[in-house]
Amino acid sequence: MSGRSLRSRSYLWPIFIGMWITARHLFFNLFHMRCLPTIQYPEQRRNYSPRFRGLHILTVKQNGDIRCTACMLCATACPAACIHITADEHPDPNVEKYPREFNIDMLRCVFCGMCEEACPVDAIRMGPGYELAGFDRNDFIYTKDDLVKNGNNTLSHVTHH
Amino acid sequence: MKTVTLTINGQAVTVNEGTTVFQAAQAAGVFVPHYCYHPDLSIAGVCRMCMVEIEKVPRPQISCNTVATEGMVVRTDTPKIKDTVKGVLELHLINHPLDCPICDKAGECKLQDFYQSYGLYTSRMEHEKVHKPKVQDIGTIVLDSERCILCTRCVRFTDEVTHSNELGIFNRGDRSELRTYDEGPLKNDYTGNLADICPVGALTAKDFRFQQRVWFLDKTKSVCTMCAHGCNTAVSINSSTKKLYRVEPRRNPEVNQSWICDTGRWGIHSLTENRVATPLKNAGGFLDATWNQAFSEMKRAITEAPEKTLVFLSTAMTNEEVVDVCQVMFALGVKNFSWLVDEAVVSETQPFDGILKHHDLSANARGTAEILKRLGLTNLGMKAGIDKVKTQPLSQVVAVGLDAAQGPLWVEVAAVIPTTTQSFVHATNHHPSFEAAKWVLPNTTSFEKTGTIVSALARVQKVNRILPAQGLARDSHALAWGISRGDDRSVPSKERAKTIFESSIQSWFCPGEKFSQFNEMGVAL
Repeated sequence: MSGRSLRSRSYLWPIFIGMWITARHLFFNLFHMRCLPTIQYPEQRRNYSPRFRGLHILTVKQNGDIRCTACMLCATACPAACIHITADEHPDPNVEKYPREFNIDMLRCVFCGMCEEACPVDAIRMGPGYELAGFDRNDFIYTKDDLVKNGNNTLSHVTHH
Repeated sequence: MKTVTLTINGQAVTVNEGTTVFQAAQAAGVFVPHYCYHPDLSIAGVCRMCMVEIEKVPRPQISCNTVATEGMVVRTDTPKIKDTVKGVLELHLINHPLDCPICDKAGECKLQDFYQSYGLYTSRMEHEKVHKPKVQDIGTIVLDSERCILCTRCVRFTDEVTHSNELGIFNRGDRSELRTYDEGPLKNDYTGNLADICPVGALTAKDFRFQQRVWFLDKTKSVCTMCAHGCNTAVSINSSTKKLYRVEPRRNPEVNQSWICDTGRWGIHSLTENRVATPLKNAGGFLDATWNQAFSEMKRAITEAPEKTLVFLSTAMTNEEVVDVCQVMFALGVKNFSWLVDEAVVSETQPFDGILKHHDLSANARGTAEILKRLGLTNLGMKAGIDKVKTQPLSQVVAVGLDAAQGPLWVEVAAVIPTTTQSFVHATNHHPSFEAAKWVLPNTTSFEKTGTIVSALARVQKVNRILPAQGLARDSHALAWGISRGDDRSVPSKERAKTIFESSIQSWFCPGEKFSQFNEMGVAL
């Protein structure tokens, strides 16, 4: 102990230096509000690139039905194995196959976008959504309805089949 | 037999006289693309995919219907042939709907495969494709005429194999359409094979439809145990979920050609439903118990009155299991053994319908009878065994290895259970008639064990373990081991089966065969 000076032992000088830096930023920011890096979320939101890979959306057909044909190519391409589809026979023979269940485990998802790339009918897309929060793990398993809601009934580009 | 020697792609091949160029190419290991050719059906020559160039013949010929002759020089790899095959494939695909995303055949479809290896052209089709009825329900199979490429394999199958003639090609040209006569359903017992032989997705099995994509499935070679014929099978499971999806025939010209009956194919569901999950002890009602309790009680009961005990050997057990159970029981002093078969039909060696089906539902009756003889034990016979229990010289019954495939026989055994003082039933599935049994123990199905069986055709074939045992189910090896010790210690069933195979079964039934690399086609007894 005896080796340290009074200045060092009192900590006053370092506190003063720290406060000086804080005060410098405070006054700089007060007069340069535009340079502030923070935003007033959730009132203010950032604009992401249209190519941003956010929460998945499932698109719909003109008649409002889900576009997905349950071909399982997204589930096959998925490196995280987070897509779980149960296919079933559709009552309409022209549709033939549809996903009875379509669940994505968002906690497993790595948002790589391979599903979107594999999809032959533009049924699954990586949407702009990024708010992923929940109270327990089940909240992160997005069902077919959640995913359609995510996309706000976006129409698919593909009209054949 | 006279042989001929021909050259295929510069490679000399010697084949029997009368062999086609296609078969000669197969023998030489040269793959020729094809849709309509099937080794177990007649030759139609309609798909035109198997074109080859033969020296001194001006135009390409179909190899499936050209007989190989001495000195023939055949090429399958010339630019002319590649162009021809590509052209033929383009013709096949003109009106094909290309709905692969919803087609169940995707992943094992010959149109997809050959497009990848011989096609790879850009479509020149500018007109609307011809549309035909889709999703037509024809019984166990769903027919999609639009996807059909008119190879007529299915038509020939119903004509030549089942002789039921339900299917035909109607109309001509691009209006040609596969249909059943009078729009009726399929009426034979082998309909599942139609989905197998269809090279495209025109015929898909309702049972498997949309259940799983084929590329998620792993196939294991095994043998069907639903009747005495012992058809060779390939069983598909999803290896990550350990769920059984389908049973397909595996070609064996000596046993089942390329076919399997619908019972063997779709009967798997009855085997997986209503399984016994844990050992159950009867104390006024069934209560969950442990194997330890079961084994100690069984050992005590048997050692106390071995002369009053009757062991029913299910003929669904493998040879190794039968040996294991018999040896353990004999060591405990039991002398009364009976098999579990329908004695009226057990001597049947040929299928009653002339194709594959047997009345006898026991997979291994022949093996069981033979083993009892070799071990020097008397087989009381089912009827005599049951009579002896009814008239009371025997008062304890141990029924080992019961499998749901023989469900109809359970009723007879179960009928004598109330007259016994103690009875132990080792069965795969619950059955109302087991209510009087003292213990009901979970058995493994034939998909959960490894061993050899002897079919009605006197052929030793190997059943392979495909799934892990469900619940607390144990096979008869574990049961025998447990009874002999009277407590529950883990037993490596597979090793035990291997040891028994090597010490007895091998020398009795199939000298020279190895347990782990058993001839997948089976060996004649």
